[in-house]
Amino acid sequence: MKGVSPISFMAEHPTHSVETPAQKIFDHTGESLSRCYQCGKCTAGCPMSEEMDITPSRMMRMLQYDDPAMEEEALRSYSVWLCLTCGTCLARCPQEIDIPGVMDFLRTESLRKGMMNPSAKNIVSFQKSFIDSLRLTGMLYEVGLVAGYKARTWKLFQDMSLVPWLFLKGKLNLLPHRVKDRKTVKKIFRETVK
Amino acid sequence: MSRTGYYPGCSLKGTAREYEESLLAVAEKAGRPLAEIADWNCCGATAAHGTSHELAIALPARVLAQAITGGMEELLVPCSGCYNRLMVTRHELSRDPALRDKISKMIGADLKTPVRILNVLEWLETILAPGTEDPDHVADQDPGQDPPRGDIPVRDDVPTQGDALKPDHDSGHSDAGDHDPDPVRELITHPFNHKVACYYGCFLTRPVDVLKPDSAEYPMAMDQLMERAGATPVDWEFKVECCGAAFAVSRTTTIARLSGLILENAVRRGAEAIIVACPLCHANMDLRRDAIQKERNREIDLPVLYLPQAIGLAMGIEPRQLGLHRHRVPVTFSLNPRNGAPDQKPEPRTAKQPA
Repeated sequence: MKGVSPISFMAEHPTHSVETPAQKIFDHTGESLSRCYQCGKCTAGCPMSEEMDITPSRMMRMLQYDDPAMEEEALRSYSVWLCLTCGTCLARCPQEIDIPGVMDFLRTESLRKGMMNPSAKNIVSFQKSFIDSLRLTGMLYEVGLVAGYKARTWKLFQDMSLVPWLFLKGKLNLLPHRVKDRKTVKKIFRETVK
Repeated sequence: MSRTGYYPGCSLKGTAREYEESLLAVAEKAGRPLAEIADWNCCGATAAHGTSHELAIALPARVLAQAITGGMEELLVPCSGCYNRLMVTRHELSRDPALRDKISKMIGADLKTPVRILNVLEWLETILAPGTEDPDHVADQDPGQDPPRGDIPVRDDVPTQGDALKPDHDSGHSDAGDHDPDPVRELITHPFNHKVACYYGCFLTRPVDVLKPDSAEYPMAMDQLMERAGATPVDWEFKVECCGAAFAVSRTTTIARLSGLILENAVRRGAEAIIVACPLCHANMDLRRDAIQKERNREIDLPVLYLPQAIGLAMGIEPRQLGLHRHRVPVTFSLNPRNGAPDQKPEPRTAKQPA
């Protein structure tokens, strides 16, 4: 279905001295963005497009230009963080481009290069606090997650009214559960997260 | 019968506690005990694949390895989020042997033994519609085709809301059914005579080529289960829309908008409850109801039930045992005696405009 990728053709016939954005994406995700012909179905179905600074279809177009400035604009966008990875775009894409997979790659690149959009602070803080909780216990520890999130964002009073209710309903574990096999969890994090 | 392992995931031990309570209650009543796999870890959820691709594969891979070590042939993963991560992981491991070897070495476990991963719909099908479930999970079906309505034959002797109101309705419990053991007849003792909106969301349906739902845009599997439990599923437009998922804490306004639209559509279509299979969807639509009402500027009192809670009521399990008291939006459904008229038919729900 996916056929011969023009990007892989490009890879064998390099015209650029540096690795282009589309090439990098192809290498990491196997997705060839040149297949996108701008039908706009991704943007039409995206639940977040109205809140995004760059819509999914426009993002695909920008990355097709193989222009480092455009790549940086994409990495600095709010959109890469607003993508919920709900998968509606991929389900409807006539070219079967894994846009959520591309967004995942852009997110990790954005983090790696320290280019995350300042508006995405809450979203990134939540993600980091979640990962911290996992690193520590191997499980999601909700109290630790929320505490970490509040420490990062200073949103000290957000949702505090829900806490007594959650506790009364028996939905809040004050102490974390831990994976007993600590060694493997540690090893996973050591080898996959820098 | 193959041994069914059970991976609850983190949410079912915390904010989605009632999901586990109702699931285990249904399992017990159906005589289908579930063996929780040993020393499991978090699947990594959305945060992991936003951080590192290999992390997002390694964490669910360890869960699969724990199931393999425990000798499980199949693994029930009730949380849609975990189910999604485990399915995607298995898919990637099977198409990339180099990655599988690397992860296998990393977690020090075998990943080659196949484990069948079941979502809650597939597991309930084995109870309520045994023999109709497809082991290959409709793998060859074109997801774009029309919804396969009536895939699971729906028994017409299960009283629907209208039937139960008929004064001379034959309950059929003891007479006609003796020579024809039907799980529905035996298990559904208190039909859930209500209109329900079955909500699938993202994680049960997408990515379509990995999860292979019965339809990408208009699935019916849950509707058919609810029909078997005596409910009347409504035809509505937001079955597979996203509720806002992982933004529950970091971006409440988005949750309120997206989940609000879903709830409003269900109300407009006459649903008395939304049925879900995902702790995130439940948290967003139930726990975040105050924010939703504020954002949508209207009162919405539609309760959100986990699928095993609704099925459990239909099986005559007490509401408290199903954790119905743990919801933010009050659930007023109670056990409906099979022969009687539906108890306290609630007022038709409407999205009320503020005065």
